[in-house]
Amino acid sequence: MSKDQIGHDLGFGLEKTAEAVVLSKGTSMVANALKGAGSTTLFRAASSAEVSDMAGNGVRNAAGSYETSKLFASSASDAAQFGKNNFALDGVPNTLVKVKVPNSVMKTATTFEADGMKAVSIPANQLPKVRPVGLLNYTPKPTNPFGFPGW
Amino acid sequence: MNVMYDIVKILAKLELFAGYNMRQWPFSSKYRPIFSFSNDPWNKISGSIDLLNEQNYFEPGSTGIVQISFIKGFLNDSCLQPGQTFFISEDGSNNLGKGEVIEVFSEDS
Repeated sequence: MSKDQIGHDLGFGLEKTAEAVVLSKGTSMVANALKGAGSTTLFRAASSAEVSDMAGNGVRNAAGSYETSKLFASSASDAAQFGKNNFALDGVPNTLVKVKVPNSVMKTATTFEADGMKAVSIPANQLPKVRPVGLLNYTPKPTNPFGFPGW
Repeated sequence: MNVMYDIVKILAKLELFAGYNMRQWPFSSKYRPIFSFSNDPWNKISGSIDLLNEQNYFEPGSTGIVQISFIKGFLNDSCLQPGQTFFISEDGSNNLGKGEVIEVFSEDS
Protein backbone atom coordinates (compact mmCIF):
# COMPACT_ATOMS: atom_id res chain seq x y z
CA MET A 1 0.00 0.00 0.00
CA SER A 2 1.42 3.33 -1.02
CA LYS A 3 1.83 6.25 1.33
CA ASP A 4 -0.82 8.09 -0.67
CA GLN A 5 -3.26 5.23 -0.20
CA ILE A 6 -2.63 5.12 3.56
CA GLY A 7 -3.14 8.87 3.76
CA HIS A 8 -6.34 8.62 1.77
CA ASP A 9 -7.72 5.82 3.96
CA LEU A 10 -6.76 7.68 7.13
CA GLY A 11 -8.46 10.84 5.88
CA PHE A 12 -11.57 8.91 4.92
CA GLY A 13 -11.68 7.30 8.36
CA LEU A 14 -11.32 10.63 10.13
CA GLU A 15 -14.01 12.14 7.93
CA LYS A 16 -16.43 9.29 8.77
CA THR A 17 -15.65 9.63 12.49
CA ALA A 18 -16.35 13.37 12.35
CA GLU A 19 -19.57 12.67 10.44
CA ALA A 20 -20.69 10.22 13.10
CA VAL A 21 -19.95 12.73 15.88
CA VAL A 22 -21.89 15.47 14.07
CA LEU A 23 -24.75 13.07 13.36
CA SER A 24 -25.01 11.91 16.97
CA LYS A 25 -24.86 15.51 18.21
CA GLY A 26 -27.52 16.43 15.67
CA THR A 27 -29.71 13.56 16.81
CA SER A 28 -29.51 14.65 20.43
CA MET A 29 -30.23 18.25 19.40
CA VAL A 30 -33.33 17.09 17.52
CA ALA A 31 -34.36 14.98 20.52
CA ASN A 32 -33.93 17.97 22.82
CA ALA A 33 -35.89 20.18 20.42
CA LEU A 34 -38.74 17.67 20.35
CA LYS A 35 -38.66 17.44 24.13
CA GLY A 36 -38.83 21.25 24.34
CA ALA A 37 -41.67 21.32 21.85
CA GLY A 38 -44.01 19.53 24.28
CA SER A 39 -46.60 21.24 26.39
CA THR A 40 -47.83 21.37 29.95
CA THR A 41 -51.49 21.23 30.96
CA LEU A 42 -52.69 23.92 33.35
CA PHE A 43 -56.12 24.97 34.58
CA ARG A 44 -57.84 28.25 35.30
CA ALA A 45 -61.03 29.21 37.08
CA ALA A 46 -62.60 31.78 34.77
CA SER A 47 -65.82 33.79 34.74
CA SER A 48 -68.27 33.27 31.87
CA ALA A 49 -67.16 36.63 30.43
CA GLU A 50 -63.55 35.47 30.36
CA VAL A 51 -64.52 32.11 28.85
CA SER A 52 -66.39 33.92 26.06
CA ASP A 53 -63.43 36.20 25.46
CA MET A 54 -61.08 33.20 25.30
CA ALA A 55 -63.30 31.57 22.68
CA GLY A 56 -63.02 34.59 20.41
CA ASN A 57 -59.61 36.02 21.21
CA GLY A 58 -57.56 33.33 22.89
CA VAL A 59 -55.99 33.77 26.31
CA ARG A 60 -55.39 37.40 27.17
CA ASN A 61 -55.85 39.92 29.97
CA ALA A 62 -58.92 42.13 30.09
CA ALA A 63 -58.61 45.89 30.49
CA GLY A 64 -58.60 46.97 34.13
CA SER A 65 -57.62 43.49 35.28
CA TYR A 66 -54.24 41.74 35.43
CA GLU A 67 -51.76 43.32 33.03
CA THR A 68 -48.30 41.86 33.55
CA SER A 69 -49.21 38.18 33.80
CA LYS A 70 -52.04 35.69 34.27
CA LEU A 71 -52.40 33.04 36.94
CA PHE A 72 -53.14 29.36 36.41
CA ALA A 73 -53.39 26.30 38.64
CA SER A 74 -51.38 23.17 38.09
CA SER A 75 -54.30 20.85 38.83
CA ALA A 76 -58.05 20.88 38.25
CA SER A 77 -58.69 20.49 41.97
CA ASP A 78 -56.59 23.56 42.80
CA ALA A 79 -58.35 25.51 40.05
CA ALA A 80 -61.68 24.44 41.57
CA GLN A 81 -60.57 25.75 44.94
CA PHE A 82 -59.42 29.04 43.36
CA GLY A 83 -62.87 29.19 41.74
CA LYS A 84 -64.56 28.74 45.10
CA ASN A 85 -62.40 31.49 46.57
CA ASN A 86 -63.26 33.77 43.65
CA PHE A 87 -66.95 33.11 44.22
CA ALA A 88 -66.64 33.85 47.93
CA LEU A 89 -65.00 37.20 47.14
CA ASP A 90 -67.16 38.48 44.30
CA GLY A 91 -70.16 36.13 43.99
CA VAL A 92 -69.38 35.39 40.33
CA PRO A 93 -69.44 31.67 39.46
CA ASN A 94 -66.44 30.33 37.58
CA THR A 95 -65.92 27.58 35.04
CA LEU A 96 -62.75 25.52 34.87
CA VAL A 97 -60.74 25.95 31.68
CA LYS A 98 -58.04 23.51 30.63
CA VAL A 99 -55.12 25.01 28.68
CA LYS A 100 -51.98 23.72 26.99
CA VAL A 101 -48.85 25.76 27.61
CA PRO A 102 -45.82 25.14 25.38
CA ASN A 103 -42.85 24.07 27.46
CA SER A 104 -40.87 26.94 25.94
CA VAL A 105 -43.43 29.26 27.57
CA MET A 106 -43.31 27.32 30.85
CA LYS A 107 -39.62 28.26 31.04
CA THR A 108 -40.72 31.89 31.40
CA ALA A 109 -43.36 31.09 34.04
CA THR A 110 -42.96 31.66 37.74
CA THR A 111 -44.47 29.36 40.31
CA PHE A 112 -45.40 30.34 43.82
CA GLU A 113 -47.88 29.50 46.54
CA ALA A 114 -51.04 31.61 46.73
CA ASP A 115 -53.92 30.96 49.11
CA GLY A 116 -52.09 27.80 50.15
CA MET A 117 -52.02 26.37 46.62
CA LYS A 118 -49.50 26.23 43.79
CA ALA A 119 -50.06 29.07 41.33
CA VAL A 120 -48.34 29.39 37.96
CA SER A 121 -47.85 32.88 36.57
CA ILE A 122 -47.47 33.20 32.79
CA PRO A 123 -46.06 36.54 31.58
CA ALA A 124 -48.57 38.58 29.56
CA ASN A 125 -46.40 38.61 26.44
CA GLN A 126 -46.50 34.79 26.34
CA LEU A 127 -50.28 34.46 26.69
CA PRO A 128 -50.98 34.30 22.93
CA LYS A 129 -49.06 30.99 22.92
CA VAL A 130 -51.33 29.49 25.58
CA ARG A 131 -54.06 27.40 23.99
CA PRO A 132 -57.42 26.74 25.66
CA VAL A 133 -58.32 23.11 24.94
CA GLY A 134 -61.52 22.56 26.84
CA LEU A 135 -63.95 23.40 29.57
CA LEU A 136 -64.47 21.12 32.53
CA ASN A 137 -68.09 20.46 33.24
CA TYR A 138 -67.88 21.78 36.79
CA THR A 139 -68.68 25.13 38.30
CA PRO A 140 -66.93 25.42 41.62
CA LYS A 141 -69.07 27.11 44.25
CA PRO A 142 -68.60 26.83 47.97
CA THR A 143 -71.57 25.40 49.82
CA ASN A 144 -73.49 28.28 51.38
CA PRO A 145 -70.45 30.57 51.48
CA PHE A 146 -72.10 33.32 53.42
CA GLY A 147 -74.27 31.21 55.69
CA PHE A 148 -77.50 32.39 54.05
CA PRO A 149 -80.54 30.41 55.23
CA GLY A 150 -82.10 28.32 52.47
CA TRP A 151 -79.03 28.60 50.16
CA MET B 1 -69.23 19.52 53.29
CA ASN B 2 -70.50 22.91 54.38
CA VAL B 3 -67.54 25.25 53.96
CA MET B 4 -67.97 28.69 55.49
CA TYR B 5 -66.05 31.60 54.10
CA ASP B 6 -65.40 34.50 56.41
CA ILE B 7 -64.76 37.65 54.46
CA VAL B 8 -62.83 40.42 56.12
CA LYS B 9 -62.77 43.92 54.66
CA ILE B 10 -60.26 46.64 55.24
CA LEU B 11 -59.74 50.23 54.23
CA ALA B 12 -56.22 50.78 53.01
CA LYS B 13 -54.03 53.46 51.51
CA LEU B 14 -52.67 52.11 48.26
CA GLU B 15 -49.90 53.36 45.98
CA LEU B 16 -49.70 51.86 42.50
CA PHE B 17 -46.16 52.09 41.18
CA ALA B 18 -45.37 53.52 37.75
CA GLY B 19 -42.39 52.81 35.52
CA TYR B 20 -40.58 49.97 33.81
CA ASN B 21 -41.95 46.49 34.62
CA MET B 22 -44.91 48.06 36.40
CA ARG B 23 -48.50 48.35 35.24
CA GLN B 24 -48.85 50.80 32.39
CA TRP B 25 -52.63 50.88 32.56
CA PRO B 26 -55.07 51.52 35.43
CA PHE B 27 -57.03 48.80 37.17
CA SER B 28 -60.72 48.84 38.00
CA SER B 29 -62.84 47.50 40.88
CA LYS B 30 -62.66 43.75 41.54
CA TYR B 31 -58.95 43.74 40.67
CA ARG B 32 -57.54 40.66 42.42
CA PRO B 33 -53.78 40.95 42.93
CA ILE B 34 -51.65 38.84 45.23
CA PHE B 35 -50.96 40.43 48.62
CA SER B 36 -47.99 39.87 50.88
CA PHE B 37 -47.94 41.59 54.25
CA SER B 38 -44.68 42.86 55.64
CA ASN B 39 -45.10 40.95 58.90
CA ASP B 40 -45.88 37.69 57.06
CA PRO B 41 -44.06 38.08 53.72
CA TRP B 42 -44.06 34.42 52.69
CA ASN B 43 -47.82 34.12 52.96
CA LYS B 44 -49.21 35.23 49.61
CA ILE B 45 -52.96 35.62 49.46
CA SER B 46 -55.44 36.96 46.97
CA GLY B 47 -57.77 39.82 47.81
CA SER B 48 -60.28 41.86 45.88
CA ILE B 49 -59.83 45.63 45.60
CA ASP B 50 -62.90 47.84 45.33
CA LEU B 51 -62.55 51.47 44.37
CA LEU B 52 -64.43 54.04 46.42
CA ASN B 53 -66.32 57.25 45.68
CA GLU B 54 -67.51 56.11 42.26
CA GLN B 55 -63.93 56.04 41.07
CA ASN B 56 -63.70 53.95 37.89
CA TYR B 57 -59.96 53.49 37.56
CA PHE B 58 -56.84 53.53 39.73
CA GLU B 59 -53.93 54.91 37.70
CA PRO B 60 -50.27 53.84 37.90
CA GLY B 61 -48.35 56.43 39.88
CA SER B 62 -51.36 57.37 41.99
CA THR B 63 -52.15 56.91 45.67
CA GLY B 64 -55.63 56.56 47.13
CA ILE B 65 -57.91 54.89 49.63
CA VAL B 66 -59.45 51.57 48.61
CA GLN B 67 -61.49 48.80 50.17
CA ILE B 68 -60.00 45.32 50.08
CA SER B 69 -61.76 42.02 50.79
CA PHE B 70 -59.90 38.93 51.92
CA ILE B 71 -60.91 35.40 52.81
CA LYS B 72 -60.03 35.40 56.47
CA GLY B 73 -58.75 31.86 56.71
CA PHE B 74 -55.80 32.63 54.47
CA LEU B 75 -54.79 35.71 56.41
CA ASN B 76 -52.74 35.85 59.57
CA ASP B 77 -54.77 37.84 62.14
CA SER B 78 -51.74 39.98 62.92
CA CYS B 79 -52.00 41.41 59.39
CA LEU B 80 -55.40 42.89 60.20
CA GLN B 81 -54.12 45.77 62.27
CA PRO B 82 -54.02 49.44 61.32
CA GLY B 83 -50.53 50.43 60.28
CA GLN B 84 -49.62 47.02 58.82
CA THR B 85 -48.06 47.38 55.39
CA PHE B 86 -48.31 45.14 52.34
CA PHE B 87 -47.22 44.81 48.74
CA ILE B 88 -49.30 43.75 45.75
CA SER B 89 -48.13 41.74 42.76
CA GLU B 90 -49.57 39.72 39.89
CA ASP B 91 -46.90 37.03 39.83
CA GLY B 92 -46.06 36.68 43.50
CA SER B 93 -42.70 38.42 43.19
CA ASN B 94 -42.69 41.64 41.16
CA ASN B 95 -44.19 44.25 43.47
CA LEU B 96 -46.52 46.56 41.57
CA GLY B 97 -47.69 48.63 44.51
CA LYS B 98 -47.67 48.99 48.25
CA GLY B 99 -50.28 49.79 50.86
CA GLU B 100 -51.05 50.31 54.49
CA VAL B 101 -54.04 49.11 56.51
CA ILE B 102 -56.07 52.06 57.79
CA GLU B 103 -59.05 50.31 59.30
CA VAL B 104 -60.54 46.86 59.59
CA PHE B 105 -64.12 47.88 59.25
CA SER B 106 -66.30 44.87 58.73
CA GLU B 107 -66.30 41.17 59.04
CA ASP B 108 -69.09 39.11 57.51
CA SER B 109 -69.72 35.46 57.97
